[in-house]
Amino acid sequence: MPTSSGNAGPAAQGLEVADVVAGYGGAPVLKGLSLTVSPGQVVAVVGPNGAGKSTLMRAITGTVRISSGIVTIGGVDITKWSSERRSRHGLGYVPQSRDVFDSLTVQENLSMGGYMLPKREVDDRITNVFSLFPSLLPLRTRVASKLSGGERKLLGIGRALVATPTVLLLDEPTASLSPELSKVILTEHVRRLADTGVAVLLVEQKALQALEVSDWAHVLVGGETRISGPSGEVLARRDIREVFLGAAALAIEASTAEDGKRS
Amino acid sequence: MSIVGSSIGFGLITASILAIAAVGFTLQFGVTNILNLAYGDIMTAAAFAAYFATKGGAPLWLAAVAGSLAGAVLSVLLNRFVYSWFARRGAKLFAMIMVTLGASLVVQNGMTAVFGPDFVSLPTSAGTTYQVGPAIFTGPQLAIVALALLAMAGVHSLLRYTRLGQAMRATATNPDLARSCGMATNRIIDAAWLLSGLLCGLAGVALALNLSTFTTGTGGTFLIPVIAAAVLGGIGQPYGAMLGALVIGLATEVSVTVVSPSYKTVVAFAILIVVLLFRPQGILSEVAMAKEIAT
Ligand SMILES: Nc1ncnc2c1ncn2[C@@H]1O[C@H](COP(=O)(O)OP(=O)(O)O)[C@@H](O)[C@H]1O
Ligand SMILES: [Mg+2]
Repeated sequence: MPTSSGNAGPAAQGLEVADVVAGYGGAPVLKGLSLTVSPGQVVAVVGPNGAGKSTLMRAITGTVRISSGIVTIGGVDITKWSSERRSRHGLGYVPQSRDVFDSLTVQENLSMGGYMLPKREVDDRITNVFSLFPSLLPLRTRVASKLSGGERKLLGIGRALVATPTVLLLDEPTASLSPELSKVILTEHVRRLADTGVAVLLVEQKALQALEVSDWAHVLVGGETRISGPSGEVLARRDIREVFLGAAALAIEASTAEDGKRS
Repeated sequence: MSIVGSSIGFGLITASILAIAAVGFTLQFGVTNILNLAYGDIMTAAAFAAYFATKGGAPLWLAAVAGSLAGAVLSVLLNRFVYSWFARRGAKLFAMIMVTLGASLVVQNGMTAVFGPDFVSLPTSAGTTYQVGPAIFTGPQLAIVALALLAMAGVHSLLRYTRLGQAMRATATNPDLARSCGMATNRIIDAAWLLSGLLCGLAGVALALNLSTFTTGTGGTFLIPVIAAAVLGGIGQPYGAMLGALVIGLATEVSVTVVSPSYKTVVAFAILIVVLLFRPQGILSEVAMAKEIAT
C-alpha cells in the first residue's frame, strides 16, 4: 500500500537494487550498486560513457549475470529469475539500441509487447499507445527497419508500454532524437508515465534534462555511485555540474560518432 | 502423351516434394538462424522410419505420419543436444555450419552402419490413377501435391497471422528483446524445430516414395535443390520457397528431355549458382547480417 511518506512501503512496491555486483565474466563492471525506485518516481542514472549504466539495466532485466546482491520488484526477490519471468512480473525495458524487432511491422512490434496478455487486452492497449504516439498510427504496416531514428524510439517505448509495466527501465531513450523530441519524451511522456504510478529508472546522457525531470538522481562513475540525492539538490551542487556532468557532457560529444553501436 | 507433357507431370511431383522440404528449410533457417546441412539426412532418417513402419505392417499413410514425427523429434533433439550446446559456447554462423556438416556426416554414416548401404523401397500403391491434363498421377502423388500447397499456406499463415509465428520471427531477429517481452524463447525455438522437422520428415517420405528406391545418402543429395529453392524464394518466405521449388522442380525434370538424367543435380546446382549471382540477397545477406543464434 503506497504512502506518501516513509520509505519501506513504496520502495517495497517498486524496484530495489541492493549491493549488486555484476559483469561479463571478467572483472565486475558494477561494484556493489544500490538504488530504489518507488512507484510514481523517476530516478535518473547519469554518468560518463562506460560507467556501467547499460550494464545496470541488463543486470536488472537478467541478461547480465549478478554475482552478488539482490534485485526485488514489488518486494519479490527476482535475482535468480529468467528474463522472461521478470517481464511477466511487471518489468518493462527499452534497451539503448536494438529496442525494436527490425523485421516486424509497427503493429506486430506492439502486439509482441503484449505477448503475455490476453488478445483482447492487447488491442486496447495498442490503441492507447497510438493515441499517446499518434505519429506511429499511419506507419502501422511499415517494417520497423524502415523507420527513422525518432519513430523507432517511439515504437520501442510504445512496445514496452503495451505490457503496462509497473517498473520501466529506459536506457538513453533520447540518444538518437532531436532536442525538441527529447524534451517532449522526457518532460511529457516519462514524467506523465511516472505520475500514473509507474516506477521509472531513466538512464540518460543528457544529464541536465534528466535531472530536471527526475525525483532522485545517481551519478555513476566506474560502476559505483559517486553521488546520489534528490535531483534538485544534485543539480544545485556546484561540483557535480562541473566535474561529473562536465565529464558526462564531454563523453556525449565523444560518443555521438558511435551512436547506435552497442555500448 | 508427349515426353515434355509427362516430364512436366514428373516435374510437378518433384517440385511438390521440393516445396515441402524447402518450406520446412526456410522456416527452420529463417527462425533459428542455423543453416542445417543435416536437413537432408533427417529426411533420409524419416524415410527409413516410414520404411520400418510399413515392414511392421502399417499402411502407407500411417508410415508417412511416423516418418514425419521421426523428422520432428530428431530435429528437436539435434538442436537441443548438439546445436544449442555449441551455440551456448559461442558458435556463430560459419562455425555452426561446420557443426551441422559434422552432424550430417555422423547421421548419414550412422545410418549406413546400422541400416546397411543397400537400396530399399517403400511399397508403391497399385491403386487407381488419375488423369490431370496431359499427365497421369497416382493417389499418393496427388496427396503430395496437396500437402505441398497446405504446407506453404500453413507456414505462411503461421508466420504472418499467429502469435506463435510472430513470436518466432521476433525471436529470430532479437532474442534478448523477445525475452524481455516475456517470451520463453527456448520453447519458441523448439516449436520451430518441431514444425520444420515435421515438414522435413514428410518430404523425406515423399521423396522415398517418388524415387521408388532409396539409400542412406538419398536425402543428402536432395539437399542442394532444396537449398536452391529456399534461396531462390528468399529465406523465411514460404510462398517464395514454393515458387523456387516449382522453378527448380520443373527445370530439373524438363532438362531430362534434353540432357542425361544423371545431370539433374547438376542442373539444380547450376540454378543455385545463377541464383546466388543474381539474387545474393537471399542466403548471403542472411549470413552476412551475422544474426544471433537464439537458444
Ligand atoms: N557485452 C559486453 N561484454 C563485455 N564487456 C562489456 C559488454 N558491454 C559493455 N561492456 C563493458 O562494460 C563497461 C560498462 O559498459 P556500459 O554498461 O555499456 O556503460 P554505459 O552504458 O554507462 O556507457 C564498459 O567497460 C564496457 O566495455
Ligand atoms: Mg549505455
